[in-house]
This record gives sequence, structure tokens and C-alpha cells, in this order.
Amino acid sequence: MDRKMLITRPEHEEPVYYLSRWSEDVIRVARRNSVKVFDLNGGKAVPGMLHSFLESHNPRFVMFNGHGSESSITGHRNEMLVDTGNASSLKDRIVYSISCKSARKLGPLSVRRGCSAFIGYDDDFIMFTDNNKSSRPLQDGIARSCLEPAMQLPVSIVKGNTVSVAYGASKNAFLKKIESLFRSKEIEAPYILQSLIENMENLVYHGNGNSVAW
Amino acid sequence: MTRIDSDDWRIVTERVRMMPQHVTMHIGSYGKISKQSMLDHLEKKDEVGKRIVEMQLNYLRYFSRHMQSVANG
Repeated sequence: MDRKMLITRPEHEEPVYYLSRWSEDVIRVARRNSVKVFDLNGGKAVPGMLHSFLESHNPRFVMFNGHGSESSITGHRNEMLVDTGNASSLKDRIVYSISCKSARKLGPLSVRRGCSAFIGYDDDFIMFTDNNKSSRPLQDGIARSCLEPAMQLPVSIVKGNTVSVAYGASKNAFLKKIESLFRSKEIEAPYILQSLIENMENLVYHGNGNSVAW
Repeated sequence: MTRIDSDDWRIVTERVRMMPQHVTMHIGSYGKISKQSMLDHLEKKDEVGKRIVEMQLNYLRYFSRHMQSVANG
């Protein structure tokens, strides 16, 4: 199976810029594992580019960072990338979507249209950040605590683990961080914990848990 | 949808008042929300305010379960 992944990384506003920067590690790990990465970064995260790359390169694993709703995922400047009308473009792929609520309707619909597995969030994706670090997301310790467990999942997928193993690894990373913050005296801990608990409880997958990307 | 009573609004508002000024919340579908903006939403008791209360109550429930499991060994 070809080791190809596609990732969307819009950067037009702060929360998606944070997701974009914190996804860089996923790209690094993928490349270290000999995966060809199609990186739709910034203004490239638009529908034309996405669907052209999906058709011409047929990546097995697709990771979306962006805004979303129950039935859609958006990209650069909130342009619609995937919705119920073109969910069949996810056929035979493993999808991980860090976007609000997209696992609620778009996830199951994509699977009915042939997507191998759709992993995402049933409700809002919540994050806390440090105002003083907004131009340097990778130095933001608050964001690190919120985002690292969510990034554990695609890292596990690109290493060749099954969807259910990757899902378990991410849930464990959430739990481990939650346990450590319960013992923490950091003043930000109670707020970071809210985000971790919400995101952990809302992380779900639809489709075949035994699917592997390669 | 969690039932929210007046004590819940009050408790959550007090907790948000204690939030450090440099911390900002991002709720995907509502965007970036500063501490002051959180307090405004809580005062208005609007949709965002309700979401903030639900999150806090969920956290407090989780914390309570965690403490119980620690106490039970």
C-alpha cells in the first residue's frame, strides 16, 4: 500500500494557526517513516487543491485541521472542503479531523459512503492558550498540554498502527495528562483540564477499527 | 443538554473570575474568547455562556469521580 498522507493546515486565524504549527510534528514523524506528505498549508487548504490532490495522488490517510460543523469541515478562510455532498471523496481513506462536531454526522455518513474509518470530535474542540505566546504557538505551554494528546493519534496512524490502537493511544495520552494536571499546582491547570476532559470525551471513531494506513 | 440552575451560573462565574488574565479559551464554533468576554457571556446567560458552564460542570463532575476513585484506592 502506498505510504501517502494529505494534511490541511489553514492559518487564517489564531486557533487554526495553532493547530497548523502543532501538526508539524506529525509531518516530521510521517516523513521519518517514509511517508509522502501532501501538505496543504495556509492558502493551499482550499477545495480545488484538496480534491485535485485526493484524485491525483490518492493518499490513504487524510488529516484535517480547521473549523467544522456536524456535517462539514472547512479550510482556508473557512471555505468548505468536505460536506455531505462530497463525502464520497473520503472513500477507502482513514480520516482524522481536528474540527468541531464533524464526527457527529459527517463521520458516519463518510463511512456509509466507503471511508475506511473517520476519527474526529462529536462536539466543540476546546483549547486554551497563553495570550503572551500567540505569535509563537510552539512555545505556548498551555496549548502544548491541550494539543499534544490530540496529536498523538495521527502520529500513531502514520507509524502504521490500526485505528483502534491509535485511538487508544490518544485516549491514554489524554488520561495521562489529566492525571498529571490533577496533581499540578500550576494556576492554569484547572482550565487546561476542562479542555482535555471535553476533547477526550468527544473523541470518537466510526468505521473499521482494524484499518491501517499502510 | 445539562440543566443549569442559578447556583451553577454563580459558581462558574466565580471560577472564571479567578482565571489568570493571560489565559484565553478557544471554543471551535465560537472562536477566541478572552476572560472578559467569558464573563460577559456568563452575565448574558447566552449560548456561549451555557457552553462555558457545561464545560466547568463537566470538569467538576470528572474531578469528583476522580477523587472518589482515589479515596476508594
